[in-house]
Amino acid sequence: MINKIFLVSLILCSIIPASASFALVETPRNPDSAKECAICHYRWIDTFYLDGKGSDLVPYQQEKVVARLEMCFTCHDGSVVDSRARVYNDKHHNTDKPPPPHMKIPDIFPLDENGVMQCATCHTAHGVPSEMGIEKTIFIRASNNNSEMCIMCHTDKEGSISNGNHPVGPAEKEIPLNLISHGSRVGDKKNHIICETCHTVHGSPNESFLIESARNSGLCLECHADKNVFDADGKRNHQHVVNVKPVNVKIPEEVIDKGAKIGWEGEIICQTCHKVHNNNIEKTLLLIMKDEKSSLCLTCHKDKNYLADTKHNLVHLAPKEKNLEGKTVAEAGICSPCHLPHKEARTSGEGEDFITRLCLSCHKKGNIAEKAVPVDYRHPLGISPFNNGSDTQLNLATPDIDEDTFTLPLFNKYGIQDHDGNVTCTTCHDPHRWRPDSEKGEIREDIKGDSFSSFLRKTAPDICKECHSNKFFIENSKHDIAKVAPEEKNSLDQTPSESGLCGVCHLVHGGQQGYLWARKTVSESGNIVQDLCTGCHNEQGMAKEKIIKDYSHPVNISLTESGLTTTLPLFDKKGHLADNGLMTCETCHDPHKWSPDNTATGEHFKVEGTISNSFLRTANFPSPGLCGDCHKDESYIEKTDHDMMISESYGLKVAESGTCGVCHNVHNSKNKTRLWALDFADGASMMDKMCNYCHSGNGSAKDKIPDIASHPDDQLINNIGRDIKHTPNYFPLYNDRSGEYLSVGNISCPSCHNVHQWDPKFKKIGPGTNIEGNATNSFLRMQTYSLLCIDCHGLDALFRFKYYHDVEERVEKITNIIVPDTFQ
Amino acid sequence: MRRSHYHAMKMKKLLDRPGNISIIIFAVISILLYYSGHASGIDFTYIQHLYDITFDMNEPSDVAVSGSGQIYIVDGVNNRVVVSNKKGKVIFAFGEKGSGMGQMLYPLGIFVDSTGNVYLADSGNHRIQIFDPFGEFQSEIKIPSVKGVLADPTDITVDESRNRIYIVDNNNHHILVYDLDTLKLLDTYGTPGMGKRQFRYPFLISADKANYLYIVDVINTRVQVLNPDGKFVQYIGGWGVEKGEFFRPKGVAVDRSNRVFVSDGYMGVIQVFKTNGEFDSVISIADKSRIKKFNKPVGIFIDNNNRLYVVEMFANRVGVYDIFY
Repeated sequence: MINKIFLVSLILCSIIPASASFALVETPRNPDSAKECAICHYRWIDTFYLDGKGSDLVPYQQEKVVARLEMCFTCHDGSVVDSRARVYNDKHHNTDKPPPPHMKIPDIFPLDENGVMQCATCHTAHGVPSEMGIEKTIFIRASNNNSEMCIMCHTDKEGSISNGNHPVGPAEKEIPLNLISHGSRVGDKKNHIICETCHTVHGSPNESFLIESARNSGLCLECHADKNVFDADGKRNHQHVVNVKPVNVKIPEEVIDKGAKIGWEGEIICQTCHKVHNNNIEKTLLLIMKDEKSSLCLTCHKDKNYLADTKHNLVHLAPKEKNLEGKTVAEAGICSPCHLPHKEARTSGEGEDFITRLCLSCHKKGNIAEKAVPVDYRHPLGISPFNNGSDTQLNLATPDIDEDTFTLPLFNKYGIQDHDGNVTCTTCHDPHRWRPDSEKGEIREDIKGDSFSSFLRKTAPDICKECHSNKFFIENSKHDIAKVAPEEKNSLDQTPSESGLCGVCHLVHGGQQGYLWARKTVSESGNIVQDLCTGCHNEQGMAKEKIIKDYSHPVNISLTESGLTTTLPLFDKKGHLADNGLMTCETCHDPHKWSPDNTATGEHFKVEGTISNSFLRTANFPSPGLCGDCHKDESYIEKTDHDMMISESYGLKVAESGTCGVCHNVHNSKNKTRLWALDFADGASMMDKMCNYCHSGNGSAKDKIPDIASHPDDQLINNIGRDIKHTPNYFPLYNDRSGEYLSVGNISCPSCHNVHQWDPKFKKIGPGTNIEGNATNSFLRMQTYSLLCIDCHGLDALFRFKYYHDVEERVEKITNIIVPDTFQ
Repeated sequence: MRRSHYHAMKMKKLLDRPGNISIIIFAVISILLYYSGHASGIDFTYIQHLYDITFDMNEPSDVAVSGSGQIYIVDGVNNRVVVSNKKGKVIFAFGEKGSGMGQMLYPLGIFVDSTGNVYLADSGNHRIQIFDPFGEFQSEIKIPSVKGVLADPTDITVDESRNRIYIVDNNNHHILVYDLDTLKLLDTYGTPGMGKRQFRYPFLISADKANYLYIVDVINTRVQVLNPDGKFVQYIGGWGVEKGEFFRPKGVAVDRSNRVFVSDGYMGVIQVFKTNGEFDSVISIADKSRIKKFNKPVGIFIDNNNRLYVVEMFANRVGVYDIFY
């Protein structure tokens, strides 16, 4: 054909006037129109068409290029019309490709000589009659009023739901302005949905030339905003989540094969369940699968089918119960009583988070699950196990839970599983599965749940261990009740084997105020923490062999009032940690941990305790760490001659009693005064008797007995001003009988000596070796060291000191003693 | 394939067919007529390639160079201006999509004045924006619609001696003259049409040392020259594909010898014209002695060092060349 044209042109050019040749090949009829046509029909330029040659600038053009993208772009590059971003950005309806095999292209839409689509397939520069008006006409080959031109090729997208396609035509809902601002078009009627409401053939960077991407459900939610998980105020709606990566669910291949789509990162999106074009499966809701009694739900949520034979399948216990759509479970499927994909199924209960409200919609008084209503004192919700907050001292939750091995689900307040979320009902419970170790359920109404069932995600105590693994040192200890008192029952009348390790003392639902206590309390101290201990440690309790009697370390006391500080936990009367709280049993003891260093192994409940374990928070041996935490000034006794670890103990069991316990029994001491652990020797006063127990002929300090060590009694020394502890001139006087502190009284050994500190100048522990003392140390008080009685006796003090403390001085004059008047 | 060889092959095929004698006679005559009237040969203006500037541009359209050598490129579909140093290293970019101050919507033309201020034809926003040399917004000129037709400012040039800004309004087919100080409209040059001082889609504009205006008149396929007062001076080029003709003129630049360079976006060539409008030559790469084909050349610029800057829209780059005289 081309050869023929060339030949004819060649001949005609040579012998026939040019105008005649125009007529023969239908070229423009006059020079002006020739340019107007050739301005796109490049090959019609005179040089090519009439002269049949190229020019010095360009080669001969024979091929038709009028509708090529490059030609269109010679004007649409901004020099006439700027279509750079919208059309010439690789974001337009396919060109340079053949139409799909199944598509029949009407004859009015020409393909190029290779059968592929070009701009000219849809467009013509010559325009066509159109009722759309010039402002809408874009030189297309047919009217696209209401997307009619689109449908001419895409015939399978025609129609509405009846043809398995998203509805087109006038709608009740308004097309959102936001969508229109992104290029969406509306048909010629009000709210008229057309193809171009969702699609645009030019300039869309999105899949399927959508105005907005649907792979994040964005396009769908523009109109179906009420289907969004959150409303405009950020409130969670009762909608199936979208744009969330499935955590526990895998979208089955069978669903993908049917055309389900997922988000770019694998998220669930609207099109995961809905197929909006060519849906031959379910044409009512354009679902990807038919939904017969929750079958669509269970396609993805296969594990939720374990619900079928549990009490949460209402067909068993509440078959007449209807959801908010007025349907029973038999009518709408086992998911329907609690879940509807796009609306609330039940009236929510009260609760701080979305899931709690769902659970409490049934588990509340007057409703179908009122028999299983969580009572007031229950495990707290809305807390993160990874954030101990102010609870770091007691470490109720393990302080360093391994987030990677933590298996329980946490949820944000919107009910969406979130690793950074908080504890809610479904953290511990899987409402769709009765037992964690079995897919079988339990529907007998009289069968109550226990630590192995109850819809728990793990059996107890393993489920408790997920957060509270630091409490599991209690296993095999004397507080492991299954080991020491297996028949003892908690307040639910459960033995330890029924309640589980933790349930012996704590009830997650229905425990008493204060650590969800599961046992009867008998003490009325008014201090909850104290009462928990005495509940067992009393004369009738199962720990009656370990009860605290008189002459024990005081509890329910304020350290602040005693001028002491501590790093040990103090509590208010409700059992909460409090910096200025009271000292209780749990100040010194951690009931979950036999040994502070966690070294106890095996069945250590059979072993008698020492001051290195015994549930103490800090070992008291070899250093008096526990006592010293409060009694810091007294802890300087360590490694001095008064520390029996250093001095010869003469049978005292320091390893069992510790440095402090040699002289003081914390519990059940034989003496009230100073909880004195030893006997009393001879002496003028109670305090002297205690000192003389060691500093006597049979005592461990028999080589440290003063030859003369007395001070006239009954001098009624007025000690006011020097009786303030922790001051430099502290010089205590004691009641001769009781040992209590006095402001006016007699001098005794500890008046001058601080038995807990070797050198008054240095608040530190001793050197760890026996050393001979002098007048600058020797357990003297600072007052004694500095003033040596001068403040009372003036210049006469030295004589008097020697008289009463130096045998030689006193013996020389003993036959002719002259007692100063002031001594009489 | 050379044209003479092509015709020889055709003749051979015809001679091989019996009964074609009469046709052959006519063919021989026509070939003789063709070659006897054909003006062969063309002069070149040689350039040497220095470097390209790319920077992930998306359909750039125009380029301007400041007195200090900073190169400002309109990266229109990315809605920004890319700035490189005189060595072609991009040093910063400014602008983002939008209609606020400093934002832009598919800008097209650009001009840099002697102080380094940048004038941008923010076409999609129907305005000119003025920036300091660092891309900080200074002011804007909103171009009014004409009888309901939205303004489409595609390029600007500034006559600092007369304190004027000349703005091409592509959709309304005229040139607007604004006062540089007050930014008020002073005058309008031209009307729609094909005659003198008439335009059909004027696009890019340039000025010579005397501030004569060179306006690319796209659909009229010519460059129209006006004096500073808007009076017609001459046409440069015309319709066609021969030397001195245009199929799609896009960019224009005037060198220090008042030679006029015009790019053709479809033929891919840059032609050089004498001051009087007579065709001079076509751009060629030195040592190649053949026409340099650009990949859809649009805006062009010639600096004081006789460097030619060519925006190639399809290639998303700006080529920088030395011009040899």
